[in-house]
Parts: sequence; C-alpha cells; structure tokens
Amino acid sequence: MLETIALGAQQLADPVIWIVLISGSVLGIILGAIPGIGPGVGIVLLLPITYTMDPLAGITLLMGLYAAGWYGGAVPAITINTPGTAVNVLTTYDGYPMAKNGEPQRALALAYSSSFVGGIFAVSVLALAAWPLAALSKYLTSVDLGMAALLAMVLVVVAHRGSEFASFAMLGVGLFVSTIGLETAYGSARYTFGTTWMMAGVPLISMVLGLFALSQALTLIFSDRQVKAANTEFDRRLLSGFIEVFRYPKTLFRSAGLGVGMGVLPGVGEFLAQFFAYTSARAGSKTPEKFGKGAPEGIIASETANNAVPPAALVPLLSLGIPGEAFTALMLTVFIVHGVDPGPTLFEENKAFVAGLYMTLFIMNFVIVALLLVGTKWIAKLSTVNDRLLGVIIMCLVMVGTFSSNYRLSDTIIAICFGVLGFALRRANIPMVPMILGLVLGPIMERYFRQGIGAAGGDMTIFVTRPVSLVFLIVILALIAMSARNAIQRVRQ
Amino acid sequence: MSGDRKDGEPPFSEQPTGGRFLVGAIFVTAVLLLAMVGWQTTPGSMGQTVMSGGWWAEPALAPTVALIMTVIASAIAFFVARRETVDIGNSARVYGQILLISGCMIGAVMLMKVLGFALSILIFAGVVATIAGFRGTRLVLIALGTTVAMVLIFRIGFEIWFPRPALFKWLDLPVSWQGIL
Repeated sequence: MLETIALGAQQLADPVIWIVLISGSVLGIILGAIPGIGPGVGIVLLLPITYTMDPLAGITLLMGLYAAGWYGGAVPAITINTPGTAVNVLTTYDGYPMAKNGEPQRALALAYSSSFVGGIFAVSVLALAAWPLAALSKYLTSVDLGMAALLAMVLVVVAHRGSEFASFAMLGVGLFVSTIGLETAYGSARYTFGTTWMMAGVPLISMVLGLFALSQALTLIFSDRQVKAANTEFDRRLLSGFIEVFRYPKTLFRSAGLGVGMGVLPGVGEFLAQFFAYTSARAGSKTPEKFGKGAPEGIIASETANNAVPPAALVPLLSLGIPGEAFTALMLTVFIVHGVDPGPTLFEENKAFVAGLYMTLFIMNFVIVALLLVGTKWIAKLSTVNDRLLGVIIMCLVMVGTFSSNYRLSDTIIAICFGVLGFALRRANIPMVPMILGLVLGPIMERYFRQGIGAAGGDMTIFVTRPVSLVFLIVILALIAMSARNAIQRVRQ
Repeated sequence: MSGDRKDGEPPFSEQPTGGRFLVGAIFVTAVLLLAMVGWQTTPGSMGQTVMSGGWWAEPALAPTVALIMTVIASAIAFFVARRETVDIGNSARVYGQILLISGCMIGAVMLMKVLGFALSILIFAGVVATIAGFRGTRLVLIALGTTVAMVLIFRIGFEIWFPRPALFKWLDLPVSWQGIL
C-alpha cells in the first residue's frame, strides 16, 4: 500500500498532471453548471486532444471533467431550480426549497461536502477492489471475457426501461458500425462500398463528436429555454456548513455505497444511483415528510450517490478492460491509442500508471471542492448564459475538432451524419449510449469470441462448459427474459 | 443575455417525437444493408478462408449478427411505439435549417484551404449565429468573439496545424500571422 502511495506521489511530481487536473476540473465545473450541456460534451470535444497526451494525463483530464461536472451541476439545481446535468435532478427537490428558505449556503455546502465524501469513498473502493478483481480475471479465458462484454451490453440495454427495444436496436447499430472497414485479423473489407476512406472504418472521434456534441449544439440552437438569474447572496462562508453532512452518517454512507454499487454495474449509472439513494434515505428518515421541502438528507443522498459513480465506473474498465457506460468506453479508446491494455496486465506492467491514477482521483476531489468554495459566486452566474450562443460555440468546436483529427472532409461529413442522427434520437428520447458501447465493445467482443471459439475448434458448447461463461450466459438470458416480460406487460396495458 | 429571435413557440415540443419514424428508418436501412452482406464482406487478401479454418472467422459473421439484431429489435420497437402525429411543416423547417447548417459546415471546412482558419470560422460562426436568431451588433460580436476564441484555443493554445490557404499566396502577411490565421 505504501509503495503504491509513493509511486502515485511520484507521478504527481509531473507539472503536466497538475495542469490537466486543474483545467479538467475547472472545465467540468463550468460545463456542469451550465444547464443543458453537461460534462459529456466536454469529454468528446477533448477526446482527440487526450490522444496526444501521456495516458495518465489524458485520463486525468477526462476524469476531471467527468467528476467535476456532477459537482458543478448542483449549483444551478440549488440556486435556480434547474439541474445543471440530468444527474442533479433530485438535488433540486430539497436544494432549491432550502435556498428559497434563505439557506442557499447551507444547501451548497451540503451538496459539496456530500459530493466530496461520495467521491473519496468511491476512489478508496476503486483502489481496494480493482486490483483483486484484475487478479481474478487472469483466470478468465477469451470466452469468459467475451461473455462479460456481452453481459455489459445487455445490462446497458435493460437499464433503459421503457425503451428496451429501441436501445437494443441502437446497440445493433453500434455493433454494425464497429464492423465497417478493414478487419485486422484477416484483412477482410466489410461494408466499405469500394472506397478507400472507409477502409479505416468509421472514425470514433467523428462519430462521438457528432452524436454527443453536434446533436447537443443543434438542440441548443433551437432551444427556447428561458434564462433564469440566480437571486442568491453569497455573503457567508460556505466552509462553515461543511461539517453538517457528518450529522447524517447513515444516509451519507448508505448513499455512497449505493453509488459505488451502481457505478460498478454496467449501464446503471448516476441517475439510478441517486434515485435509489434518495428513496432509501426518505424511507429511513425520521422526518420523511420534510423530503421535497428542503431536507438536508435529500441533498446528501442525491449528491453523495451521483459523485460516487465516476470512480466506481473505472473498476470494470481497469480490472477487466470492459467499460460499463459511454464515458468510460471513450476512456478505453485513450488506453487503446497508447497501447495500454486494461485488465490484469495493467496492474503488473503499468503499476506507476495505476498508482498515479488513484492519486490524481483522490487529489481531484480536494481540487474541485477548493475551486467551488472559491468560485461559487461566479459559477452561479453561468446558468444565465444563452443556450443559442453556446450552440454556436460548440458547433465551431465540433467543426474544428473533426477536421483537425485527420484533415479529411469525409470525417466532417461523418460527424454531420451522426450529429443529425443524434439530434433525431434526442428528439425521440431514444438512448445513444448503447450505440457508443456497441461501437467500442464490438471489436473487443468479436476478437474474444473468435479466439475462444477458434481455440475450441468451432465447438459452441464452450459457452456452457466453462463455468464463468455459463454463469454470465444464465444472467444474460434471465435479464433478457425479465426485460421482455416487462415490455410485453407494458404493451398489453 | 438573450437571443434576438422573438418567436415564442419552441421549434419542437418537449414531448419525445419521431421515435416511430426513426426506428422504422433504422429497420429499412438495416434490411437493405443485410441484403448487401454477400458482396460487401469480401474475403481478405491474407487468405481468410485458408487461415481461419472455420465459420467463426467468416468476415460476414459479425455484421450479419449485428444487422439481424438491429432488424428484429427495430421491428419490435416500431410496432410497440405509440402512434403519433408528426408536425410535418415544423419538422421540415427544423431539418431544413439543420441541412443548411450542415452545408455551411462542409463549406467552411473547404474554405479553410482557400481563406484560412480564422476567416472560415468567422463566416461559419456568422451564418450559424444568424440561423440561431442573433441579429445586428450581437451577431457581429458573437461571430468575432467565437473566431478569436477558436484561434486562441486551437492555433495559439494547442498549436494545431492547418493547411496553408491559397489566400496567403496573394496576401503578403508575416509568417507568424500566417501561422495564427
């Protein structure tokens, strides 16, 4: 343990790590605090830049954005009753009433301190759980890992209750798109339509910039959201309310535990984590009638749970090399670009990277809280930025981002196609995450299944004769059956 | 600060819309792509069939599985989706504007090789801001501000290279300026 801490501290001696850590956190807070944007847009816009960085610097920048976004999203949720990101929705229930009752500092201090505890708790779990899980995964064969990737996809699909079939279709689209181009194992051209520019496949950067950023920019350009100014006086120091969170240890640590649990599971994510945390906090409260009217436990439950998710989401990525949702799937591409193989070998061959990552994630929470304590007054004003102006800026960033990645017009055209698709999906409320996951996990799954079935000489019983694979298969089939049954019941109703 | 567009009605409702049409379109596209699988998955130059030794390495396998999955799921999604009346006029207006923005983006990328980075961004930002509803001084300020921000981020901050535009062959600008603009 001491060796890991020393190794991690060594990584922090590099000033670049500090620069990306602080800039990622600042950008994450800003994007989180502007309603309707969120850290996702920042992650996809910065993704091409992270490919030119050292893996630790690249991942730190993206994690800074990811984690700080959820912290920043609490500010407009409390001050103007508009969540900065989707995962701060439940913070409005008690944060805004508390602010309206003349205690905005208390609400913000509770949100910041709960987020901080959630984040630190999740980093500790990551540090303790990822390595043993990775050590266990050494005993997994290609068939088991392929099945684990399939399970991750199925979990993501069934998590989208109410739109399972559309999610399944989007996963299929993502998997299909991942097969386009020259397949590396045998040099087979697939769906290239005789063109050379399709040989390299659909560029991930163009696709994610289009799906996430361009579609968001288009939505913002056509937005008619009424801008609300925060009518809050920040006359007292936020730090004074910081200790209050520890008066509710049950709610605090139960929510952190739920956040970590949901973060580790693929496809579940921040929204369900905070929903379960909030519901269980209300059920376990002595004063449930105060929930929705400014209950401190409501803010604690929501913010602790959603901030525990980002570090926990790294557990399956680092230990198995399998991302559970879109943002960690994008982070996986940073590993791939640098030739770093997540999984058991990562902990043996890149100890310095792993130790550095733990350390930066730990420090990150302190940096974000410090930034928030200093800058809340200005951050609260960000919610008044006009949506259409943001749309114009994001549009220009996407244009430059797609073209500068390869200097090919075709990349821009691909981004536009996916941008229009993303816009239509947003309008129809069809999730995009399964598509991204299919695109990133598709080649990994195909490689594992080819290796596994090939080694068994084409014998398909390998999926049921391997105990781990069999367990995964049973879970997959059970999930599909339950999901289908629920969907059929809904249709009948 | 607010934009200058005054039409109070949102371009599209807050309710999800177009889902049935979208999954229908995905179904049709997937069926068409599935029909092409035979001639769009050619065996590789490395002698795939000899090396692989089995069905599991057939190049058509993975895309076929993905497309069959898409066809089945989108067909079910189409039938279970609620029937809705799409406001064709409104949708046509929104998608028409998106088409215009897309055309401008392609045009701006092509213009980079002629007018350079900064001027292309300026034109593009101006057009998009106009479509977004900004007018007058605010439009000019937004276009200029966005251009300056892009130059600062990409050309000065990250020092990203862009092709030398044709305009600089005629304009006698200092090399340092050419590197920025």
